[in-house]
Amino acid sequence: MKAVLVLFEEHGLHRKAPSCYRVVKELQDAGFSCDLWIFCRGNTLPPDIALFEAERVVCLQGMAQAINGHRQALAMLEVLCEEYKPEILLFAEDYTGTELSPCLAYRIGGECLVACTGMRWDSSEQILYVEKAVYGGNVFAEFAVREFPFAATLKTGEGIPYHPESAFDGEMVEHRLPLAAPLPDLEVLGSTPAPADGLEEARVVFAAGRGFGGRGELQRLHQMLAKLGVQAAATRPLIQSGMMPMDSLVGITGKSVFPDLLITAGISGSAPFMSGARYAKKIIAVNNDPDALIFTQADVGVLADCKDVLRELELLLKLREL
Amino acid sequence: MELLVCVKQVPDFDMVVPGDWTVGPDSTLSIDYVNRVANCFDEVAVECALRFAEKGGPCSVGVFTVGGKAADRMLRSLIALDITKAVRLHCEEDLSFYPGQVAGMIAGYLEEAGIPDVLLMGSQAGVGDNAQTPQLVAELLGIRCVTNVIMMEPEDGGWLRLSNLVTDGVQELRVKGPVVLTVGNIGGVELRSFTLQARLAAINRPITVVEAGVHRLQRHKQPARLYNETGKKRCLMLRNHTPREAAQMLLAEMEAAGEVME
Repeated sequence: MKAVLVLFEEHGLHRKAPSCYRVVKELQDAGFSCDLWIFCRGNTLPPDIALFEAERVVCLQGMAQAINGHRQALAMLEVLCEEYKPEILLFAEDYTGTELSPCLAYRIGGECLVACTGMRWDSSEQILYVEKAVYGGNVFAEFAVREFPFAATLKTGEGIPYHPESAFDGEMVEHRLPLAAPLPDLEVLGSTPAPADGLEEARVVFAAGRGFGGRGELQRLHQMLAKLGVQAAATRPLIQSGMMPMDSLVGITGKSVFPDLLITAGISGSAPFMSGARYAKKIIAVNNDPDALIFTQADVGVLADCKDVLRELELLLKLREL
Repeated sequence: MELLVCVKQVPDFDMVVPGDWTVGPDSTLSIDYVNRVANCFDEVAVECALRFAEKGGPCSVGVFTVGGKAADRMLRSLIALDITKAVRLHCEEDLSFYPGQVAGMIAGYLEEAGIPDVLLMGSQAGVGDNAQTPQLVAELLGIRCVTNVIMMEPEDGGWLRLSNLVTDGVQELRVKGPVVLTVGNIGGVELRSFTLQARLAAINRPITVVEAGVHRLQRHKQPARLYNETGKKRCLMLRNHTPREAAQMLLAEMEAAGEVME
């Protein structure tokens, strides 16, 4: 049986790689051979070329930006699948993987599941068991995959360290992608790169929820966190109301964060939020509801009103400035 | 320009009593008591379409759903807004875990009824959280799909100007229809409210009901089992800290975590 891991973007690779590596390793231990197909922009190979102890690395250079790159990639993936015929195609979960994996699965006559958190191969039954969150992240489901090819995106989360420094001794194949022909009804005007030091990289994150307060309190929180150099995050209701920026959303439809310390304030601790917050090493929750779910997920719980604690934090910072 | 928004009816998870998320024997959940509402991302898509239509040019905004008769209530609420037509592809089956079938039914209907210039869809919906129906619809219709759109504006000559999220940032592009656009969270975009007068007027407006055709994509399956994640933490509760003490503790913890500026 053959599996392939497809990686598109270097952006955030160090975050995505460990959870991909965990699944690949489990499949390898179950007897799968594994290829790694890397799409890279320009001529630059990712430094982690020895990733995943792949038997063969196919490096596809010259991927165009965004939407044209996706067209190139999809066409090339079809060709590679025709040649290599993998049973399982794994994609790191990012916007590119989520966009392309269902399309590729459809084109090669397979199935796809998005945002998977784990996989287990049962060799006696020849069934691949796949886990993912469903019902808005409130429940997990296990799917039994019996028909192949099968494609999946792997959610960034718990993983195992990989060793990019180890020497790669498999087969290395390099391809230059054919240029994406311009389309008469599509024009890419430009792009703004995501910051390299975003929320996912922060060591301390302060997340606010609906119970934190209104626009005024959030503005004060922003000012305070800016002084402290701490990243602000929010739950979906605050994003939808426009009170917090979109790139601060944590949860099943937002980002996963991996800080040493996550402080939550006015957050109930519902599953959709926790699916993005669960990888924090330490969680301190502030909430005035003693029955809030967050207190079953936090390491330390503070039963207090968020507005009072915010005011005291501001006072403490002012005292420091004197 | 014709815009059509696909809207899915889903259980209102906010109404579920937290203890009811516990999965019972035989992988069952008892959450049937909650209301069914429009999927939150589909609501964002409707609002995007309405704002787009307000920005200029002749434009019609329709809504479309796949579901049973119970979905008519949701459609009636939507046509109380500036929606020109509402279509329901009749299907009483629960297809929450069958994005391929849903995509096949949507594509089949559009091939018959005509493909709109812009087909807007929420990027994913609760229950299955499949996040692939829009991509599959685009594949089946052989048209382009732009995912995670966060801004759309009309331009002259039938062009749409879009911003969408991509893995390494935000992309700006112009595109002409027909195109499938997916919408997720967009800051500051929430579905507007309708007036009671408009809601009453909507009672008599027709909803077109179409029988679902043959499903072209039969695959995908129900989960083999549902389960809850185990591993609650033993939380150290500080019940009697004053706000000052709590603030001091938080500040000390932030400093200990090492990223706080002095």
